[in-house]
Amino acid sequence: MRGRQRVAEPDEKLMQRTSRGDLAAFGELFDRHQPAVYAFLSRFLGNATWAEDVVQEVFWRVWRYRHSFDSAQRFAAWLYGIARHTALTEARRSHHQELSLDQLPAGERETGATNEGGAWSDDGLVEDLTLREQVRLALQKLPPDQRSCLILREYEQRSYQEIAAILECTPENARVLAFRARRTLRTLLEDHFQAEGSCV
Amino acid sequence: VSEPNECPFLIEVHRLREGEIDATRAGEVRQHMARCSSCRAEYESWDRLSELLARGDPASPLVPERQRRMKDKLLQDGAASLDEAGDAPRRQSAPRWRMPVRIALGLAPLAAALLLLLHLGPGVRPGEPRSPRVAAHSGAALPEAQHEALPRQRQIAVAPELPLPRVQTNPKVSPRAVKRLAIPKDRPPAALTRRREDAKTGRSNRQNPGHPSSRLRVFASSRSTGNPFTAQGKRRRRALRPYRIADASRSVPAPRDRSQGSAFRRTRAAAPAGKRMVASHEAGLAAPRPIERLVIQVDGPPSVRPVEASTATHITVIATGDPAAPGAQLTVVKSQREETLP
Repeated sequence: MRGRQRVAEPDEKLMQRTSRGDLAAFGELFDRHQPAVYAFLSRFLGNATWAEDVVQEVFWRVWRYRHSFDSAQRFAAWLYGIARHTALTEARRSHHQELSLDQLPAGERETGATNEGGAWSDDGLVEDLTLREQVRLALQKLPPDQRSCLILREYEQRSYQEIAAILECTPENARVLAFRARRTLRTLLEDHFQAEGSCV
Repeated sequence: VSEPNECPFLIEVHRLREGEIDATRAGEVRQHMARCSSCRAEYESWDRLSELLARGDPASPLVPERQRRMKDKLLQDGAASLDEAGDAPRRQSAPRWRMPVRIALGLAPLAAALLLLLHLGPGVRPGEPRSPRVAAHSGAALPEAQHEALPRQRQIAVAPELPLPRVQTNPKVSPRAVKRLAIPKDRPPAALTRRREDAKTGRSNRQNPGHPSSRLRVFASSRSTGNPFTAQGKRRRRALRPYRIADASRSVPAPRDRSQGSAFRRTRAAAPAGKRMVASHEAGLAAPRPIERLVIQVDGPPSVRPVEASTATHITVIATGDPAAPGAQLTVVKSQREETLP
C-alpha cells in the first residue's frame, strides 16, 4: 500500500496559524528555521554561546510579535529581519569581552594551552582551527550590514532580492555590500591569497 | 564600486561570479578574462575566498539536546503568555489615541481591588479572615466548577448585582503611601505577578505603559476634585469614608454584563442579593450623596520611586458618596478576561 506523501505547509501558513495562538505551528517553524538562524547568529556574533541566547530571544520575539506578521511578505525575510535587529541590539547592549590566552589566569592558561593528550598534533586540525578563528575575527571586523549581507549570500546562498528584503535596502545596494565585504575579507585574509596579476 | 585604476570589467567579473549576467555577456567577460590577468586573478580570488569561508565557517550546529530544551522553554513561555493574556487577536500596532485605553486596561486589576474593598468593608485585609456574611456571598457567587478553573492570581471578586458608581481613571497623579490594603506576598494579584514572571525570563515590557505590569499609578474620581494631597485635598480626604456592605430592603437591578469591543469589557459590579452598598458614615441617613470621588493608591518600599508592580506592597482605596444613589454606577474596565474571584 502506497503511503500518501505529506506536503509541507508553507511557512507563511504556519505563521498565520501561529498568529492565532497555535503553538504546534510555532514549534514547527522553530524546527524548520532554528538551525539556520542559529548558524546566522553564530557567524554574525562570532560567539556560539551568545548566539544561543539570542536565537531564543529571536523566536520569543517571533511569538510575541506574531500578530504583526504580514502574510503578504516572506516569513524568512521577516524572521531574519528580527534576527538581525535582535543581534544588533544585543551587540550594542552587551559587553561581551573575549580574553586572549595571555589574559587568562596562569592556571587556566596552562590547562588550556597544553597539548598533553596529543589532540593538537594533527597539523590539518590545527590549520582548520586557525583558519576558523581567522575567518571568525575577519567577519567581526566587517560593518554589520556587510557582515549580514555576506553571511546571507555566501553561507546561505540567498538571492540579492531576499537579502535586500532582510536588510531593508535595494538589491543593488545588497550587491554592493557583498562586493565590499568580499574585498575587505580578502584583505583581512590576504595570507591565504597569492599575488594578483596586472591588466594587460 | 570599483576603484579608478581598476579594470572596468571588474564589476562584470563580479556579476559573472554571482551568475547574474546572461550567456552572451558572460562569454564576452570570459574572453576578456583570458586576456586580463587582473580580472582573472579577481575571479579566482572570489573562488578562493568562498572556499576559505566554507572551510573556516565559524558556525557549528546546536546540540540537539539544547535545541530541544530551547524549544520546550519557548513553547512553555508561549503557553503561559496565552493563558495570561487570554490571547485575543490583536491589531498590529495600536494608534496613539488608544494609549489611554491601554492605560485603563492596565489598571483593571486595581479596579477589581477596589471592588474587593467595597465588598469587604474598611479595615479588612486579604490575609485576614473575612466576615461570614461576605464569605458566604463569595462562595455563592460562582459555580463550583468555575472556582476550580480559576488560577490563584484571580483574587478579586466581582459580584454583578448592584450597580456601583462610574470610575474614571487618571494616571497623572502620583501615588502617596497610605497603607490600608496589604497585598500578601505569596498571593499577589495578576498584574503584580506578571512583572515578576517577566523578571524571571529577563524580558522587560516597560515600553508598554498599558501593560498590567507597568507602573501602578492610579487616581480615580468621578469628578475633577484637584490634587488630593494638597492641604485642601487632605481636608477633603479626611471626609472620605470607605464603603461597607450593609443590609438593605430595597430591590436591586439584575446583573448585566456586556462586551464593549474586542479589547475590553465593562462589568457592572454589585453587592449580594438583599444587600446594597452604602457609605459607612452615611448609613442610616435619609439622603445619601451620590459617588463623588474614588482614589486608588499603590505604594511600595519607601526607597523605590516610582512604584513598580514588582515592588508594590499596598493598595489603598478611598471612596466617598453613595454608590447606591440614583444614577450612580461603577464601571470596571477589564482587559480580555474576567477576573471573578471567591
